[in-house]
Amino acid sequence: MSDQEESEYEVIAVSKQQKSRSEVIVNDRISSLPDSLLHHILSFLPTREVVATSLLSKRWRPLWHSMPTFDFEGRGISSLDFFIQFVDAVLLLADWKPIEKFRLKCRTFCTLQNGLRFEYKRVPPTRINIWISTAINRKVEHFELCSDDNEYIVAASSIFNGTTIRVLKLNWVRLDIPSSVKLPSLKVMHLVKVKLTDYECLANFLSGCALLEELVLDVSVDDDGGGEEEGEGEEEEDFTVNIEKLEHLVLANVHSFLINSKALTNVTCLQLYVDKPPVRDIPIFDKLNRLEISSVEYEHLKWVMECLRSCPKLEILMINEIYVRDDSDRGREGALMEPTQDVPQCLLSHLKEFTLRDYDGWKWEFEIARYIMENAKVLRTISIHCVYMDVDEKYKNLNMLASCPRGSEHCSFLFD
Amino acid sequence: MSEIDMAVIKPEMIKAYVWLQISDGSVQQVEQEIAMFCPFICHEILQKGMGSSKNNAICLPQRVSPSLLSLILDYCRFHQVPGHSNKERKSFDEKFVRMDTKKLCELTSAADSLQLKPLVDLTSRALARIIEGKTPEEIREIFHLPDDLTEEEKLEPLKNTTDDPRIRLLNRLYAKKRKELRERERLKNVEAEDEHADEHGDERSVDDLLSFINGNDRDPKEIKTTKNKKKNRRKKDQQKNSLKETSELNKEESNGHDIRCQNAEADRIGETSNLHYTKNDDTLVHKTEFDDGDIDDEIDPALQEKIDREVEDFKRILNSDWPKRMQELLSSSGQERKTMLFSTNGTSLPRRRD
Repeated sequence: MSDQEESEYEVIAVSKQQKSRSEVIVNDRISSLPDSLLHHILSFLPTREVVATSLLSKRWRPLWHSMPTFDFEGRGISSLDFFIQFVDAVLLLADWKPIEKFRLKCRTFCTLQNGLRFEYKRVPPTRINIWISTAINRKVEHFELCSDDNEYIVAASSIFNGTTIRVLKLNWVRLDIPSSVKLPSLKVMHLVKVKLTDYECLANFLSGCALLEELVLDVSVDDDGGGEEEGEGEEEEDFTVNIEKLEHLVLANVHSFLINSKALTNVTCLQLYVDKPPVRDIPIFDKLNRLEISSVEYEHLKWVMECLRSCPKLEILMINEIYVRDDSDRGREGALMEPTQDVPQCLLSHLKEFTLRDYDGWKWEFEIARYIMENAKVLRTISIHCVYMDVDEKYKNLNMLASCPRGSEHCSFLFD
Repeated sequence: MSEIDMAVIKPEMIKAYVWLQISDGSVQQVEQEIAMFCPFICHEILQKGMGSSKNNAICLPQRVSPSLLSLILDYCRFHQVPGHSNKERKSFDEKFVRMDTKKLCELTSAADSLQLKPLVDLTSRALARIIEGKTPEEIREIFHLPDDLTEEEKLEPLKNTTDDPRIRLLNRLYAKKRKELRERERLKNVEAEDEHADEHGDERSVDDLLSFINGNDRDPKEIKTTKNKKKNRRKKDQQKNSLKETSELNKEESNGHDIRCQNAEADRIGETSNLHYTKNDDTLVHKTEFDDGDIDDEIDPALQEKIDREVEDFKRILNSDWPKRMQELLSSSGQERKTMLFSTNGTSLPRRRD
């Protein structure tokens, strides 16, 4: 073939390529988005997938290096060694710049050893601590550590020196809280299924978080039998944890025993989980707007009434479950309130919504619903959600409830 | 006179409107309370006092086209109403993002320029959902991304930080397969590869190499062949060096994989000289195979099927976890693969030049 022919070939080839290239460019909308937007899009994906985008095209190749978020999951990776190598590699290779969000989700890796037996391995705590320290060194703002398989992770106390952390979420972690906690930027904290050494250290913890706005606590302590199994013969001592007032706290989802401490008094939205015997001296919650109580034993219903007394401006009340420990208690007599006692202020002036869940027609559930319906003068909606009942039962209950006198004129009644 | 008219008309207008000027120059009137949902517009109105009349219209950023603006306003119109429940909002959002990916990208960009964070989050999440779980090829196809990474770049996706020989091997095998696929495509469409090859440095089409292997008689482009010869000679030297490397690596590898495929060696060597898979295989290992008479011009249809199946297999394997992949590749059907890869190298890339 002559030179001329050859060059013609080249020309055709080049123009064809150029054409397809420009077509591609026109249709490729996503690559023209700025890096910050692409980072934002990729921040919703696990880091594993983010790194894989480096295979897409030249534009995407260096993108993952400058990602400000990390989301490491053990899921989808079958070898523990590979997981550790991967996290190490990414932390080393990524640009050294402040981390916006760092999430680490560990799990137990199961490997078949010599084809004979299974070996269960988890990321060693020393490794996890190195990763945590790295994140803190890089001024991480949002830090999450959780476990995929309900096994406790032991976390180092380096978390408690994360001066830049604004959001901290720990799940299935065992914490040893040091005496001095420095989390000055912390605004949101969720400790769910966290094991502590004792409840008093919560005081230490929360005292170091002056700016805290949102708090979710579901903690337990070693040798804690769980509230429900505690002996009947326990002393009726109020269980208190002395925490200073958290000025900025707006939302709290905590154990009911914390209600006694002054920590929560500024909240507007409170969700209580009643597992220990409820405390008696309840401070006044001036700003409380919404109260949600879960798992109340019928014995403590009077305590619920006390709570209502302490929340003069309560507008929304939700009770998620009233139960009996012992079926024999079902027939118990008694009144919710002494006749001489005043109706709680909030019922008279503020309560607008009342919801009761897991209703099964039992006497005390009916009592409280009736009491509120009767006394709440500005109530707008009352919703009662039943457990599964057959139609007749349901109808009977509906009638009973609907026929209660209502203190408010504009009250709508929702029953399902 | 007109001013008095205006004064009379204004009080009757219940809704306040703002004027917006879109990138194409057209001016539009929009209810103020809806437009104010966008921080950008809000800022323009409050800080700069713009938007009160047609002449004073707020200039929207260039990324906001008329169709995108109407979408954004639909979003604002729904969400600025306080009465909707969370469920309703979620349901609206889900339906709202059902559009083609191109539009979704443009909408993300437009919403970002108007600083409408909730919409940016919504569209970003939608795009992330699209990307999630897909292979690079699938993603490239959906978003029309150019496949412009060089082989070299694709060979080391993780920059082989851990120097794990398994990972390196995998990268090699993957790259090799990709290359083969692309070569076949190229052969169908384009004749001359010179331009492309030169652009990327020492990347050159496997074609040319094959022509050399096949003994030149079918190759009309003698010039190229002589070039290849020279390059190949250079490569041979490199290979000798890398051979030493690989033998060391072989010792290091502690996988316990019994099937030390000659594939593996060949591929590692291929790493240093980038692309000369076929050539290397030939010269170092299986000289005999290529001297066989089974180098055909056409791809044997059965072989073609085999290749396709292998590619599919490969894709599937790559989608799963790496160590698992490794095990699958190296342990299963090792023998079959050995011959497979070599024979495909030898015969699958026909010379279709005239």
